[in-house]
Amino acid sequence: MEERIDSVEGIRQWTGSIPLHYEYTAGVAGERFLRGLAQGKIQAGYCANCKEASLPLRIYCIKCYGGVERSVLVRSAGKVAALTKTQFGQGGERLGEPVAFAYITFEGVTGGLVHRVADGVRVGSSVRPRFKPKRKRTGSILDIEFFERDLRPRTS
Amino acid sequence: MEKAGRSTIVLLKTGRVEIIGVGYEGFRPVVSDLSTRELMFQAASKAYDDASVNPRRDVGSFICCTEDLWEGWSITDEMVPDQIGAAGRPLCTIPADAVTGLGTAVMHILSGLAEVVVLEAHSKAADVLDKNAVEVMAQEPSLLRPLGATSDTLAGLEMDAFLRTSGFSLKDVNRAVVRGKASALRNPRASYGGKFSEADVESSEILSSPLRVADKAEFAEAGIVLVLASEAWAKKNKRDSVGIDGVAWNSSLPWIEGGEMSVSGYAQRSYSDAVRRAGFKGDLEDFDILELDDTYSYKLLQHLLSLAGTKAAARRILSGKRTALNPSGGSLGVGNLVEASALHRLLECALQLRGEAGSIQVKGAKKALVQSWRGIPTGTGGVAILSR
Repeated sequence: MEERIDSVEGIRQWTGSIPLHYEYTAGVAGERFLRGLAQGKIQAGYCANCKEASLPLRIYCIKCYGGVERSVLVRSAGKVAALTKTQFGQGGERLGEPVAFAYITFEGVTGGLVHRVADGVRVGSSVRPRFKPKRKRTGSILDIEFFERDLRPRTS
Repeated sequence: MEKAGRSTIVLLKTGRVEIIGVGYEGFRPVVSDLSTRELMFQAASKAYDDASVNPRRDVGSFICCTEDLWEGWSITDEMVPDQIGAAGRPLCTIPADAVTGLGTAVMHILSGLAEVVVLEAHSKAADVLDKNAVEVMAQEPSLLRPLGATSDTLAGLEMDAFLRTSGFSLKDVNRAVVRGKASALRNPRASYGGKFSEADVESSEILSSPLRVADKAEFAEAGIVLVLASEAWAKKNKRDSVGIDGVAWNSSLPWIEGGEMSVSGYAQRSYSDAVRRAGFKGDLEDFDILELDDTYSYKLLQHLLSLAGTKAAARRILSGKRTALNPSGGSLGVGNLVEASALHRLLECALQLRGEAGSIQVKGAKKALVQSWRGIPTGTGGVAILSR
């Protein structure tokens, strides 16, 4: 006959964890993109067949599946397509202050980037990346501290 | 199997595949008295009894939909066979939702690999102490994960875009939550039913604006098993059954990777493929029951809009006059069963079509549709069409 558990204290359980750590290979496209960030540049892939620039940078085109050998500098200001203010961190901890994230698209480029944005940014805002000082960049997405409103005058 | 675009379609050329038995156990926030294996054993035993099959003799193939990180156990497939009666028998695990698992089962049967197939999925989500860590591990590791965003952050972004572009409002989202919770009150399998007002939802704590606590399905635990057989086997052995008319699944480009934010391409393509394979000529409104993924409240509306094609058609379904939308209460009411969520939707539809859904029975239900989604940050899901 099975033992009937009638109190929480009586429940038997075993606590364990999976201590796993990884080192992800950046790859050809990833390294090009991350090296670009270290130089203060955002690069998109350019498919010569589809004549289309896209983010994130890949060595293949998701539309035609052809190889993407060229990358192009994203020169245009970003535009905030969606915005959220998150209250909790990745460990489930409550953040002292909400952190704003946005999905940012760029004119002439399909796709976009998720990143943190500065206060005052709204959906539709024109934004540009605020890079860390050059000496502090490591070739990481975090070389961009956040995107902030682009207050530069528009040039036509 | 044929390829169309990026969809995988199962061709039902040689008769239908039938659901001849169902079994389940749990459906509580925490199943504290059963281990994962015991939960599976209980569900499987009930399904075999319901189908009048002996798994050691009658079943040709076993399929389990499971993901190692949710199990806390790598190469989980080694730990699956015994408790569902599959020791020494053909078994595979699929790290995908159960509509994909159903498609695999259908292929096993129609290819002649097996006449009877068992499909299992379960959730022991309460065993996972670091659910956030599992979810964060789903993010792309170099460009996304370092930013500190959570699944809710990404859901917040998608919800924001959806509300800006779809024509649905936060009020519509509030109503979806109220409806799911209310339906769940009558479902004995639901853990999170309740009488909520729109104001209650409105005042729910913000997770990542505009996403609130009430917009997100809470985790629950259950084990679910379906027994499937060829139409010929079911007839020959005189089994009562529910037919699978069509099933399809699809991976569209997640919006994070450059895909669309306001519609679900995976749902649209799966639906059109499943409908075509089923030879179904009607509209979404011609189904008696829709069980659509509502892991997040706005996703229900997004999925509905993606399948219905127009906002007007989606709104007609939301009015509830003709088609029952998530009569089970959905994930918002029943709970997020992780990899078992889609199997739960299939279970609810099978019970409905058998006329065994009790207090949530949709009178005269003959045709049902299940739609699944693999969750943040994926653009993967499927559609299955069932009838009786």
